[in-house]
Amino acid sequence: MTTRVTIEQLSGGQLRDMFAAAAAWLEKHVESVNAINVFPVPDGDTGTNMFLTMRSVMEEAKRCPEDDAGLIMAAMSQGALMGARGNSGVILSQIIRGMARAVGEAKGVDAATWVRGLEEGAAGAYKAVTKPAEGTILTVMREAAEAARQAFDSDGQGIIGVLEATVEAASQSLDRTPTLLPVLAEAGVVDAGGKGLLVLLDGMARHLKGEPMEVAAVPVEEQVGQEWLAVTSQLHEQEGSLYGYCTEFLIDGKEMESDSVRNRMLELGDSVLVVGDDRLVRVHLHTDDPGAALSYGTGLGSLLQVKVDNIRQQADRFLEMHEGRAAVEAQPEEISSVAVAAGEGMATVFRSVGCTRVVSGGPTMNPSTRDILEVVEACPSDDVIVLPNDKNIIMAAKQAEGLTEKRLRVVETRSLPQGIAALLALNQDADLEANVAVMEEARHGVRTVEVCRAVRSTSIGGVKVREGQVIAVVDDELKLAAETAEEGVLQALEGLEAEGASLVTLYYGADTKQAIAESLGERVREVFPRYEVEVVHGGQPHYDYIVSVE
Amino acid sequence: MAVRIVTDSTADLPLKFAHDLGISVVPLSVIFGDEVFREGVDIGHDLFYDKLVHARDLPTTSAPSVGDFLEVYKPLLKETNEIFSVHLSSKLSATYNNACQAAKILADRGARIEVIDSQAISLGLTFVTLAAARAARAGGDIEQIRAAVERTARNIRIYVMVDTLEYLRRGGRIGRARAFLGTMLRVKPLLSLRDGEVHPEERVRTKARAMERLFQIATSYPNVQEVAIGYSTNPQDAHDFELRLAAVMPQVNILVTRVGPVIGTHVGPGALAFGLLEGEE
Repeated sequence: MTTRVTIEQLSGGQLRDMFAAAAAWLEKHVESVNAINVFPVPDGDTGTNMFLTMRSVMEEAKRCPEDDAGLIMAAMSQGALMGARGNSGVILSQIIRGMARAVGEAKGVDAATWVRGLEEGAAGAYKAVTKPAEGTILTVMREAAEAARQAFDSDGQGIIGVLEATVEAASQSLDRTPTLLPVLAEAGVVDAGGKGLLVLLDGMARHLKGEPMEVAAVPVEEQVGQEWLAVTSQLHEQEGSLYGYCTEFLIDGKEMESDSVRNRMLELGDSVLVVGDDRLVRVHLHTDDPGAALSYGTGLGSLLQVKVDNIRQQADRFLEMHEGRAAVEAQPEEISSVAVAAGEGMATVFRSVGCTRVVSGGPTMNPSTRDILEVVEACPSDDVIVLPNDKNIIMAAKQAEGLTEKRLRVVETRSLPQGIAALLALNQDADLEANVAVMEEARHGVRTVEVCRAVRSTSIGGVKVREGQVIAVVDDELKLAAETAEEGVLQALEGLEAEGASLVTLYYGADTKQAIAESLGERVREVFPRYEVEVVHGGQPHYDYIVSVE
Repeated sequence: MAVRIVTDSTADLPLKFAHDLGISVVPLSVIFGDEVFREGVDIGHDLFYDKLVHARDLPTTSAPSVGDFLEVYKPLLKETNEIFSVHLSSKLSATYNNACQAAKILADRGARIEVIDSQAISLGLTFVTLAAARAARAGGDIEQIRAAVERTARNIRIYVMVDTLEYLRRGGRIGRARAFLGTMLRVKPLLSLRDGEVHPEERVRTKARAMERLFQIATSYPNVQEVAIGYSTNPQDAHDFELRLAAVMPQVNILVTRVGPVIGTHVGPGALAFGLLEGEE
């Protein structure tokens, strides 16, 4: 039996001990956090980065001799900013910074302050990230703070009770991350940064409750799915500089504006994090040109803690760490394939069935002949098959045929499902012309339904459409209008003659929620028991659903 | 003195068959970490597939050594002067080469051991080995047995549906095919064995449709004499396939067998294969 202790207020010293316990707890979990790090890039260092950030936090805390909570928090916040490493480390530093802001100059931290600290922490974390992604440490932090608020406001919990509710909510939130971030579901893991955060909060709670924390390093519990790793390593082999360089530095200057630093960094790369104040700014980004980022920084002040890593190498090491078996070797391909597709999900689908390169584009953004040509030239083999996947892109693709030394053939796919069907028929054992023939045949074996919202009222081929309705286009022919996208899909399938077809795939778009797409899938199974039904994240813009029937 | 028939464990011969027909079987091995298991001797199918699915590291496979062959050949040579030794494709395993070396050592001592590369595996090697055994039982000499084996070998068609190419790829047995995985769309690769090598044939989405396609391919051959169905972990798939084939070719003998650990290492769980023997003319 544990006796229930209540803590009214944490002194600065107690706060420091609690953070120290959390850091020690995280240290034991470093490997198990590293092992599941797949987003934003699979480089397997989230646990290490968060721990190193915490170590810097504790070094500053120890240097502060006071027992004043405000001063200790301020020192820890400074330590976090100075020592933040990696994406998740920078976000963690902003969480701690938010907490310090809430504590202000208070001598001690009570439950009310702690809850506000968590809220400020969550807000600070979101602000640090230029393009916040849900299903990450951000979501876990936000939902944990919300639960803390709930526990405090309605249940009047003290610090321990609040912390217990926080840990519980963080844990549940972490479990949901794969439903929010598809790459996690594909890899079969939860978010690594979110897990690191949960470990920290859990460490704090255990410390306050006096639970034993003297365990050996926690073994790696979860592993990234082998197939995801294999696909990813193939991507690495195909795409030269997929991620560029992870570039981090600290600018020590005067009157700096984080916003203008951030804007400049966004021009240079992605995964941009810029945090700090007017005198000290921490920058983290992934860029092909670290030199440009560094020279910009030098213009503002002196640079500290410059760190440039080749992400590709980090990622390869991560993959190797998981392989432990024979290295995955890319098989030489005789015939490369290039597909035009819009949406990250669709690009992933194409790659997962062996597409060499994907050109971004679609009905609302037709790539030029030059865009296609560039990608064709970058393919490893001399024989290249291009899949335009839209009737309006076929011309541009065909023009590329005469403009390259390579043997280029266009298989005239008119939709993404046709492209996928054609790609599945590609056989490296056969020659180029034979492949074009079987791929042409394969594309005819699939029917396509595209459902999107009508942008204006119109009447085409006897179908009256009001603006705001959804329309269903079957193999490039407008078939019907409906009130919802889901109705549109069901009605289109109803009217579809697809003899011998046995499989329906629903690729849901960027603006369609997974849960809604899944329930549509259920509906299709009920209404059309003759079909197997697959629901796949396409992430395409414009179309709520692209449906293949084959 | 009748010619004695030797094959290897990848023929996936039910033990009773082998024994009844007087066939000697030289085992290949599967290796988990530092544990070596001779197929059919040290490890049973159930235990193997359980380990395959649960082991962190995939097993590797290993051909019988020259010494392993000598151990089988020598006692047989006390009963006969002539051995016909037929093995899995030399493009997939060193088994044939090791058998040749053992045969050469013993040839210097006056024995006649004919070693044949069947260019087949598993279900295909089953047909070839049985053809050899029948010819030997009928009193055939080595030349006659060889003729029977060659006739059989060129009329074998083998197709397999694998759940994932991962196992073939890791084992390095996939030739030129780009071993993409296609997990997102549940792509099931169909492969064939031609000229002793594994060839990717088609990629079909979903298992049900892949099994349907496998059935279409099997029934596209007009003159089927015998059929063997092999599975790694799903006996129900094999049984369903058998029932469907039996309905359209009631006169044909269908053998259902579970592929052993060595082939299982390379095709992985969830594989379903058929081998068929076409009639000539």
